Amino acid sequence: MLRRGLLLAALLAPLAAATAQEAGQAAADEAASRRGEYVFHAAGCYGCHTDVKGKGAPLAGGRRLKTPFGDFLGPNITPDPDHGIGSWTLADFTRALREGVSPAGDPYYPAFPYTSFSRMAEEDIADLWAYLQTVEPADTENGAHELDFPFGWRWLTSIWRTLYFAPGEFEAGDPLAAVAKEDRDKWNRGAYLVRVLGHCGECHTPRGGLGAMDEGLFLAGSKQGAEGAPVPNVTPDPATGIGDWSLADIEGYLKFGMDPDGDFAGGAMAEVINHTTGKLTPEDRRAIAVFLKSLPAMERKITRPSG
Amino acid sequence: MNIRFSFSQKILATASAAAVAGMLTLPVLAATPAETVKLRQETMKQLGGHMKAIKGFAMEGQGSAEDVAVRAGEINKIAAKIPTLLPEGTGMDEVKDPKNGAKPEIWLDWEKFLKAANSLEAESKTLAAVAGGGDKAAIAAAFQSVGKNGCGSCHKPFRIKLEK
Ligand code: HEC
Ligand code: HEC
Ligand code: HEC
Repeated sequence: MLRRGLLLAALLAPLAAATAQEAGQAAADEAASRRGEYVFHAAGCYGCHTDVKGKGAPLAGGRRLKTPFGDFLGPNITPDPDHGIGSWTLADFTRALREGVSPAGDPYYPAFPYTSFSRMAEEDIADLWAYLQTVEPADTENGAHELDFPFGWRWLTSIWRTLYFAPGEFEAGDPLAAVAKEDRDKWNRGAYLVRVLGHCGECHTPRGGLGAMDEGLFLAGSKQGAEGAPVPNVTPDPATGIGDWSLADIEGYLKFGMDPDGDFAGGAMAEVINHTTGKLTPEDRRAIAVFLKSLPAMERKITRPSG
Repeated sequence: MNIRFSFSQKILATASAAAVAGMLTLPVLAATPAETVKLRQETMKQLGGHMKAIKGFAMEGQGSAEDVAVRAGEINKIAAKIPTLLPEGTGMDEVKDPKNGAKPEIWLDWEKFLKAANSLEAESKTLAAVAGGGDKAAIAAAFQSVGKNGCGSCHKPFRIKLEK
């Protein structure tokens, strides 16, 4: 009897150790997924991958994205193994974000803003991946993009990439002299939030004929930005940009959408505020404001699309 | 498929919205489209002025809760009037004012547009009631809700912000 008990204990001991180890792992996974949820909001993954209008499941795809090249349909990125990215590895996911290439090696269209995400920190990608594992899998089938000739040919994207896509690491920059001393540490965080996670330039920077962002006019506004509508100049030019906004004005706008005149954000920015900037910590909104205020002011009036 | 409302149906809808506020629609309808655009921009600016003042109290502690209640009441009255300020033929493609940001979608989905105006009416009414109670945190929350679900819910689908 006693012997049997001992035997049982001996058998169970490693099991208990394994369980403790599993519990530790589970706690670590949970912490990673919680951090990943924050990255998810800051990077605005929800909007392009959720068909809110059609009442689709979160991240199950189907959101229509209108561009000058045709309509893209955001794919299913839930952990469903057949219709989502459930069969992917972290390495596949990292490659998609940083290099814009699918597990099969096909280049993605830059409607997926990997041009910005390419500089995402390794640990942010891992956390984001952990969070995506916790999303409810959805078996929604991906729809085909509806692109104008000849953009339907995915291989053309390779040529575009050769011309315009420069993957790389995010480099912390030297805060410009214009940044107040106590705000300098925030500047780099702000640059990362604006340039990489928030991909603000994807809408606020004008594009050339083939859709590449004109970096010389970074955030200086786009006549045909989000969904063909004009997007304002957010450089600190007082007349045509937001030079007359204080740091607090910018923070308030990013939190709940009110500008210094009491006007409220609309269009694509209302969505960005609801899903992204409104969900950041006050420190991160401050960092964004500090970075925006430090940009070179560019005088550039954005007029209505039809002149 | 988009359901287009006939002009008379729309006048009926705007007239009933105006009747709620006890306003007469005639002066607006008699104005030229360009005048209507100017009038609505001025009216919207008034809304902005009220929201700015309310934010001063809700977020920075300036002014008084009574003032918030009065302003929320003003917003409520204006909300009922909004549809009369956007008759067909005054959209950004028709009245080429460089600032006119009234999107054609307004008249393609008039029902939804009315809903957005109604939402501002309801939200501002709540804010007025909450302001009467004087609880600052509750006022701040109600104020943000007016912004998001009142102003924002209409600006998001129906308006483009153009040059200042
Ligand atoms: C501006 C819209 C937009 C945003 C923001 C966006 N995506 Fe996407 N994403 C797309 C589009 C469009 C595609 C399809 C690209 C293609 O077919 O070439 C895509 C593709 C993908 C894919 C590949 C899916 C597959 O089946 O091959 C993954 C994974 C992905 N996105 C993850 C993310 C994550 C994670 C985020 C946030 C960090 C994000 N996306 C943000 C638009 C977006
Ligand atoms: C999907 C496109 C899109 C993205 C991404 C985007 N914006 Fe915007 N943004 C807009 C549009 C459109 C407007 C005009 C809003 C309106 O019509 O009320 C705007 C307005 C603004 C304004 C107010 C400018 C003014 O003069 O009223 C600021 C500030 C701003 N955006 C900052 C940002 C920042 C910071 C980010 C990144 C975190 C960002 N935006 C990302 C589309 C976008
Ligand atoms: C039911 C729709 C609707 C609601 C609700 C609404 N707006 Fe507007 N707003 C518009 C439209 C449409 C325009 C564009 C008018 C134009 O350009 O002629 C506009 C323009 C504005 C402008 C710019 C006016 C100018 O100078 O040209 C301000 C400021 C503004 N709105 C503030 C507000 C505020 C604050 C609220 C909430 C308290 C609000 N609006 C609620 C539809 C709405």
